[in-house]
Amino acid sequence: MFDPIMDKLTEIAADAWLFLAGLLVMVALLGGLFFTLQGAAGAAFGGSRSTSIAILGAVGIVLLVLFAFLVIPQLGELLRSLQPAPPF
Amino acid sequence: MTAAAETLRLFLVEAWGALAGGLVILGMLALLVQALRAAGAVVIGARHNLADAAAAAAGFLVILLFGLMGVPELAGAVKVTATGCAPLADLGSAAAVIIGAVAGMRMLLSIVRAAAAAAVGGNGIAPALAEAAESMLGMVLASAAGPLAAHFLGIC
Repeated sequence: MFDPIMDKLTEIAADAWLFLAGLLVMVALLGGLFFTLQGAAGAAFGGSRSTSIAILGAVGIVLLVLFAFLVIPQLGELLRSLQPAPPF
Repeated sequence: MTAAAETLRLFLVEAWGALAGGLVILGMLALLVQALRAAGAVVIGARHNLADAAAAAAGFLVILLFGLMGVPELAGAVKVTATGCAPLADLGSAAAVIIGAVAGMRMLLSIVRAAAAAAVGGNGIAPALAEAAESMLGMVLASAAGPLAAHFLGIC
């Protein structure tokens, strides 16, 4: 009875997922570019703090993107497997 | 009457499946939104926003796990078999099933509302827990009303 509604919802959710994933990639790329610029500028005038912050930021962005694209789908599979049968 | 109750029960079973599936979909999208928030916070160097996003994601997972694992256990544990006396036995057992199903659906719906509120940064778990307790209490009272009335009226 609810299958057509769920199909439509799943379609919308898939589009939303692609949109959010695309946004995340864009933010990560721009962030990586920013940190590269910051690190290069720090290296150019000998600012070690600036360079190390840039490196840490870039590593953080990479870890976040890896978390988003590797861990979240696995969490989704886990949640789907935990989907309960009706207790009535 | 039991055929009508069975039809209603099947409808509620399908609704339960749809709600549980919707909860999982909402969960995955909300986690991705928090990851996007965290990435934005890392880029602009906002430590508090990053901590906020991580806490929101963790809290959302707790709500989801409670909804997917706790609510079915609660709904199953509080299921009261309302036994009527001989003329009302069939009606009593059918009513017990429907009352349990409606209470379970109400609890799951409150979890979906809590998850939706948490996804946009609101506070949803406290009202959800209150509604779950209210559903369980209402279920027990409704199950006891029929047999008590039958004894009071001297039917049984």
